[in-house]
Amino acid sequence: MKDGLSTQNLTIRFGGIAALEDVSFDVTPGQITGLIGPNGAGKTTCFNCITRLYQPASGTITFNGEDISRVPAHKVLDRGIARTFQNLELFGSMSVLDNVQVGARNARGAREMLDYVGLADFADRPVRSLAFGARKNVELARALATKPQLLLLDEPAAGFGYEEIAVLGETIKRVRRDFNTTILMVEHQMQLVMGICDRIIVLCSGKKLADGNPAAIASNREVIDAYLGGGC
Amino acid sequence: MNLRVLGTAAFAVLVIVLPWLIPPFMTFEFTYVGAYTIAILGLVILIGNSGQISLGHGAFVAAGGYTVAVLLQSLGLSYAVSLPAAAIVCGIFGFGLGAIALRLESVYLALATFALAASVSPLLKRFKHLTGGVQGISMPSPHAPEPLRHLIGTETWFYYLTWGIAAIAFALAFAGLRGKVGRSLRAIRDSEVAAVAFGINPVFYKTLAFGWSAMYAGLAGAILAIVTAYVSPDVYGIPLSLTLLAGAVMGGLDMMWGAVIGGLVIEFLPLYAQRVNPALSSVAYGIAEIAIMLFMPIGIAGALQRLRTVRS
Repeated sequence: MKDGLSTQNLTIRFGGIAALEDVSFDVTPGQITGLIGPNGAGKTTCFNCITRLYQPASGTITFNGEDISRVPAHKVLDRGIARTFQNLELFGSMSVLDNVQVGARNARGAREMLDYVGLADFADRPVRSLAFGARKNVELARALATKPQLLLLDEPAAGFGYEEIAVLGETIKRVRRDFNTTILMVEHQMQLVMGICDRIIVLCSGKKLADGNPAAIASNREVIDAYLGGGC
Repeated sequence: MNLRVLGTAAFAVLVIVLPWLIPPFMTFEFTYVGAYTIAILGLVILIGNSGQISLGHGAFVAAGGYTVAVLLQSLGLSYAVSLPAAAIVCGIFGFGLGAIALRLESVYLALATFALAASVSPLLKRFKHLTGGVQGISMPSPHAPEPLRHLIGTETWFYYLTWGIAAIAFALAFAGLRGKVGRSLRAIRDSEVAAVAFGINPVFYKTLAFGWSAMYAGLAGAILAIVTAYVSPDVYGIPLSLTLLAGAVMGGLDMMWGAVIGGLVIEFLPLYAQRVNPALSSVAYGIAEIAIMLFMPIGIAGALQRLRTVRS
């Protein structure tokens, strides 16, 4: 039995176009794995298959040895998988605390998480009233409140400036250490990806193009071509 | 926080002393307010919290009314059995319809529930042997139980019973909505994908909200039927469903106590509109509704709340 997440021959089509085709990869427990690729490569689609929002046409997804490709979407959290969203998906009408408490067991757990991301003073504010960066931290706190074994981050750096990205990198590393969690991260920002990932998986047009450590990926001819617009 | 407790206590006292301050016929009117309040509270749960719309809650009011009428009149059961039975029947009915409503959203759900409202009266007329057809069913007026009978009249007894049931309905809604259930409903309304990712089953919670609100509508229907001592198909037409929705929106969908305001509005606004001009009462009613929505788009309760926040 294999620990952690792995996909085998994951395939999904939208109207005849293969968004993912025979994608197989393993995510090693305890590592930070980056999932990168040009726009339309299938990165978020891949996340949505893992969190069961999409039903793959074929292939399997296993987590800690269990095939989760038929598990209903609202049961994925029970398996220890939590996520953040590319375009913030907060509960807009609710307070910051209530948002986090949806993930936490109780109000105390939620407050602890707010404290962790530095938003303790904002607990009772409507989440809408927070600045963009703070709202991203609410999403992170909400996911962390579930004490996930696997944390999926969908473009955590989107909308961030250079300095914020450096801070974010430290935050992600700290999260892995403090929560003893595995992280799979979709990201475009290469400075962040190259800086903190133990391993990188490259998707291009729905297929896996490369898989290796940052140094290997950075010098991979096919990956460079794909990013420079040469196609794949 | 303290203000909320104080406000609730003041309101409870007002409800208790009210029958001694007003003429008997108005006690009757305030009993209606209580029943409407319960039905509208159901809509606050459904629309305000779970984000599903219903233009057809009059159907559940009808189901509650007829259930109580059949149980009381045809089967000879007591009030103490018939009222809760009507609530349960409507809750189950609502839960079933909620399962269908899941597949529909926004304007499609509005249309489907509108069809439900439209079908009530013809259906009641069709099944004559059970519903009494166009004539409907008459039932005996309720009397206060023995020790109370000498102290208060029938209308006062029923006023207290109605507001007592309303208090239970409010307590249940308060307990349910402030905790996990309410949070889950609002989470689904705000972002269904995120709610699902955080372990909330939308199928369960959406049908729960539908069943819960239908139960309240049925309870209101049962009370209204007993107070008027009569049920007939034409009372439960489309206008009833729309009036309840209008009451919920005007009262304010975001706050539970908006239901009380909604109940007051739909009971008294038509009466006052009639006084302005008997021939144009529905026009005056309509204009008043438009004015409320124009100046208080989040309902009267919402506007009052905002006023308080601005002041403090």
